Amino acid sequence: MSSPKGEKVNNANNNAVKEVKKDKKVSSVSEDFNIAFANTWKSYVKQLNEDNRFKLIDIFCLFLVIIAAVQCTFMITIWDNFPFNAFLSGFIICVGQFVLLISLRLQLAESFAGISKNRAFGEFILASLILHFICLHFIN
Amino acid sequence: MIKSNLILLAFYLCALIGALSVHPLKTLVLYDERLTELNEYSKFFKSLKDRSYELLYQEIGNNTESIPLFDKEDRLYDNLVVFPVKGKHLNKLIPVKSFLQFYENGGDILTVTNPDAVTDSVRFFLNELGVYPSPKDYVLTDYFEDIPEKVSVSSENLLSNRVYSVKEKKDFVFQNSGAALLDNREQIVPILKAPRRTSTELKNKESWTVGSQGFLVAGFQNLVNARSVWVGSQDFFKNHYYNINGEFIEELTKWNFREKGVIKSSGATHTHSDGTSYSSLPYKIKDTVIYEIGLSEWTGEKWVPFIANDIQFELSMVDPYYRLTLQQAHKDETTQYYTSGEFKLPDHHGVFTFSTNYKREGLTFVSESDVKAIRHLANDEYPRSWEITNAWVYISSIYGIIGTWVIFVIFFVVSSKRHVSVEKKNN
Amino acid sequence: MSSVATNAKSHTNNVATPNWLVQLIQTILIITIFITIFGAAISSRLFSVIKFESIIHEFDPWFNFRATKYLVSHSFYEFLNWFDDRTWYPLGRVTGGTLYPGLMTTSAAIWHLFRKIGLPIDIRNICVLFAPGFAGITAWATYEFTKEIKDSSAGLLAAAFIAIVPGYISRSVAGSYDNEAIAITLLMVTFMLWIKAQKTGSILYATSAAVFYFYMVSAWGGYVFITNLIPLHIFILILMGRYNSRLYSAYTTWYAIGTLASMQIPFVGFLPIRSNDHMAALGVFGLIQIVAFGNFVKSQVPSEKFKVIMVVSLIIILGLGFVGLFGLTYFGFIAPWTGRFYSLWDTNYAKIHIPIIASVSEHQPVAWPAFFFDTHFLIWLFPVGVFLLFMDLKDEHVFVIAYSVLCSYFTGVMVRLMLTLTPIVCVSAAVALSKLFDVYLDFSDVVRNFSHKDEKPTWKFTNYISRLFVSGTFIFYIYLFVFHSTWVTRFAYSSPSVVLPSTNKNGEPTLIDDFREAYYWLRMNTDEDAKVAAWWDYGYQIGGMADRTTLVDNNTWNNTHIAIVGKAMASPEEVSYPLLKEHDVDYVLVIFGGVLGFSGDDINKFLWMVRIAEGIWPDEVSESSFYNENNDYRVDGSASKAMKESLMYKMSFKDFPDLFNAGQSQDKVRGQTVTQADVSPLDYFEEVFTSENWMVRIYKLRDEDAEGRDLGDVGTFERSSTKALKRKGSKRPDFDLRV
Repeated sequence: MSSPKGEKVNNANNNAVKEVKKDKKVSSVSEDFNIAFANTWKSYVKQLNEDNRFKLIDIFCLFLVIIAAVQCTFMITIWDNFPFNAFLSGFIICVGQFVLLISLRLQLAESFAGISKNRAFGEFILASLILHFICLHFIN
Repeated sequence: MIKSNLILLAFYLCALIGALSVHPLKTLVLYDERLTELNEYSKFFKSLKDRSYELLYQEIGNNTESIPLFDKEDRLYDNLVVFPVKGKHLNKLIPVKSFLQFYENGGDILTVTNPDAVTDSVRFFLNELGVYPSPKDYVLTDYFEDIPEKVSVSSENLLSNRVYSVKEKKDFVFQNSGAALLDNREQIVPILKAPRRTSTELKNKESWTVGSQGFLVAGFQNLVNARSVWVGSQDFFKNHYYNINGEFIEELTKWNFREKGVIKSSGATHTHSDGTSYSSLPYKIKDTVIYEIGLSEWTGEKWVPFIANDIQFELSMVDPYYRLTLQQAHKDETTQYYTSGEFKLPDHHGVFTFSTNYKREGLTFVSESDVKAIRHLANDEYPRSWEITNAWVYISSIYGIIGTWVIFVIFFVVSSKRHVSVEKKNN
Repeated sequence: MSSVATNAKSHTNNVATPNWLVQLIQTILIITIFITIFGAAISSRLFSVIKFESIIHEFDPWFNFRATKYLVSHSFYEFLNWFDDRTWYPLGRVTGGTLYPGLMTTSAAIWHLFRKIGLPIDIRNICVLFAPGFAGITAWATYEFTKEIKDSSAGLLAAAFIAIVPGYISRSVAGSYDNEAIAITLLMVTFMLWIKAQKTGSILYATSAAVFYFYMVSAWGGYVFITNLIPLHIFILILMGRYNSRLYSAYTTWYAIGTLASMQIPFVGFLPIRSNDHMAALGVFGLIQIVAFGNFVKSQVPSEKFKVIMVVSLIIILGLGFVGLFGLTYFGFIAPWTGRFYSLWDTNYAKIHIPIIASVSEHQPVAWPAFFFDTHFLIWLFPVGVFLLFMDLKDEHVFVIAYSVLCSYFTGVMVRLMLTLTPIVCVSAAVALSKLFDVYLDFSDVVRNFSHKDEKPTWKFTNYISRLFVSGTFIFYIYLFVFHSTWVTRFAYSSPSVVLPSTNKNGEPTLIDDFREAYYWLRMNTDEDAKVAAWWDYGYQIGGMADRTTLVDNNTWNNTHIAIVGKAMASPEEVSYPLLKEHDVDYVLVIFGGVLGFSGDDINKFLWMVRIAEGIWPDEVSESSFYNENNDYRVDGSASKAMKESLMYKMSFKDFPDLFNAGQSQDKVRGQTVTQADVSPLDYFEEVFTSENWMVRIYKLRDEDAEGRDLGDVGTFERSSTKALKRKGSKRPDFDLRV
């Protein structure tokens, strides 16, 4: 849960994205990208340091991405989607939880009109519970 | 269980009733005085009487007013014996439709024609059965005989073991006979064919039958299992030839009036392989089931187990899915049971027919069918996720996520409290 | 009527300066208005019960009713796994897995609820009154929806409109127990919640929208409309550069939970990630992730640079996405678009490729007068409302505009989609009208003038006149609309189509009850397991009213099976008989309107049967052979040979000419004279029942002949004279001899 660990992984992640894009662009564009990401990265780290909760959220998000990737790899390696419902529920719970976390994160960063941050968190818990219930039902 | 016992009881009752009615009694004999002197056939009638038939004689002539075969809906006679009748009287008294009605109602009919008396209503009736006796004046002739119209027919020409078979070869006498053409209907039971040297002839006309194309005795069984026999010669029944033809005649009438060649089913059942009935647990796809049918044969006095090895069971939904030859299973005093053994229902839901259709020449037709639905798997009858090893990955990840989520929420609440308190301090 | 009038009143109050008294009055007024709207919505839908009786209408509702009865008498588990062996004989139907259970479960829940509180109500009455009840809720949802779009006065107008608009009433009168009855309500609730979610970005609203979306999926196949409309809304907003994080949280939450939930319905299954119909939503889901990320980057980067980055990234992503979609479809991972979907774009598609879809009258393109008929003056206020919203163009207005445009097109293609158009017509019209009233019914300055008499009011006099005139005109229109709606509801949409209204010779109204007469006959006089072959239109009714097994019904899932019935009807009887016998059919039922002049009969549907059969057996059935030399479809002496020999023709017209004097036997539907010479006898079937007005005729398949003869030969034999028999019998028979 320590912050440097999370940063490192995120850093690697962003670098990977950068590199993929770099390969496909001419150099001037890639420069732009470099600057853009550097800027983004800076403010991101700043945001993280401001509030521990962002760290929590991001770590959880990363965890979800990893699990989703593991499931996909597993399905592709055995090349069989047989209990398709199980795969779907496993995968979608990752996606669903991910977007819910991001929604929460957005609201924490800049709360929407008429919805306090605490209320946003409450709504988040409710939606997550519904999501979990449906997933469990789906996998039976 | 009580229910199934009741059903069994019902079967026994049916069997009893069947046993009684399989031996009909009241027999109406129609004849024409001009052609038939009853005394000449006394041996034939006696053999019938000995087998406890009640014979009622009705002469057909100018004075005959009416011959009711039915009293409203009820058939008045069990059997009908029609000796040759000349002229058109019979056409009015019993038109062809009445014959058909009597026959379709379950009455057995023995018709005898003579070359000089093929009355229309009888001939039309036979035509509807696919039996085409030679018309008036055509005579079966064998020029190699001393008297060409008196043909002796070898027992080798007998065609149906179910009706009559001889232990040693012998010749039957057919004097003054006609012959019939038969069409290809399955229900026709050809009994005796004409010898190869014969033909059915009339002067200046094309012969009706040539050689073994023609038939001298033919039987027919309709779908209600009523039987009809046609014999081409009246003289065949005469006392004079009775010592030669008698045994044949006796067996022929036994078959005709359903004293032999009668089988019945004591009902078909099908259950799950462990004996659970459909009503308590409907079938679903790929269930293992057993089909069983019991068959009995009537010997003239009692029901005995019917033995055969060509009984087939069919499971079909428009097209057959299974066709299994049934194996002999247990038997009791009256019934032989046949079983399909365990078999797996198809992997296809729908409404299926479990049927046995046993139709053999010379035997009563047995057909049993039962329509039952085979349902699909219910939602919880598919393998559950935790039974599939593949799914363990997904299940564990779901629980992992939920667990992490709970931890996340706790940490989040804690950290946000700290956050709030920090904010307050700052303030 | 009263509701609309009060409506206008409430409006003045809205504008007045708010204080607690006004607010109180306002609340009371709104409540009163709602009570009256509920009253109007429910009572106008009860015409059918008053005019006829408490009976289930039409075709599909009979199935829903039957399914509900099953649900009420069995457990939910049994219902879910219901294998129905009384339809689609002998295939059976996996009913539990092929229906939208929302409607049945809702009414069963209501039934249980009423029993719990000590009010045991017959399930039939719940089913009959189901639609009117839910129409009331629709009105409320429309109010909330419109309130979000404009304000509560427009909302009240919209609620009043939707309560009595004929376009909606057509599918929600008492007895019209169909999926749409509940689906429109859910549609409006989902949209209302969506608009709220989209406005506030609240996860809670988005989740509720997803939950109602799930409910909608469980109730109606038309949920695909929502599945595509909401992403479209988002997509347009993104294109307009109006992305914000509220949209992100609303949409992603809705999509993730909604999609996952919708897959719980067995009938829907994996469709949401497999079929192309649902791909747009997935695509937008992906897009919004990228946009969200881009937005985050954008906030940190100078805008010129960002543009370059955006363009390049967009091109790459779009390209990849397109290739991916194409590849997946090509390799069969995603089902291509379904037939019904194609027929939305190309109106001729169905006619050529899927006659079964085209044969349904609901799938025909709409006739233009129907728009006016179904929505009256709202239809021309509708574009005005859309235009006014366009002027304003807030985020939620985009939604209404997208909805209007999309749905107007689809309604032009398929009549039944009129139903989905109607709510938005009401909303737009209400917006337009309330805007108009905002301006022209605003007499607040008059009040002010009275209180301040020192100012000069005179110059405004003409202004008042014109205002009065304009608003008067529109109030008159509203009055006309109410009148029109009542009239249409009463005369056009209240007929159960099971019982037909008519007038007898003296001009008194009577009811034609042939259908029920016939179904009752079937129920009482035939074996419980008897199988009835009829054209699929009547399948549900036979199942529901006569409780007999049918071969095909309105759930047209198996085209081949329908073609079998089509072929049997179109073939000569010696071909039909073995075909029907093979399927264990006992009775054949045909609808014949020639005596009464009922134009929806089987002879008029006959060409569809031929076409569908031809699709499967092009060698045995051909449509062209049913037209005579002049290429006309006729039933009189000039009818083609195939037509006269067909089972349908013989069954419809058997003994028909005997009803009339010679030469007067005119078929009242087609206006053609059918004579005895045209109608050849039936040998393989016997007539067992003909209803009072000859609308329903039931024939029994004769038993196979005991002597194994062809039934045709039996018929010939029965009809032939002794002489003919003699002639036949004296000839040596000509057949393959037994040797």
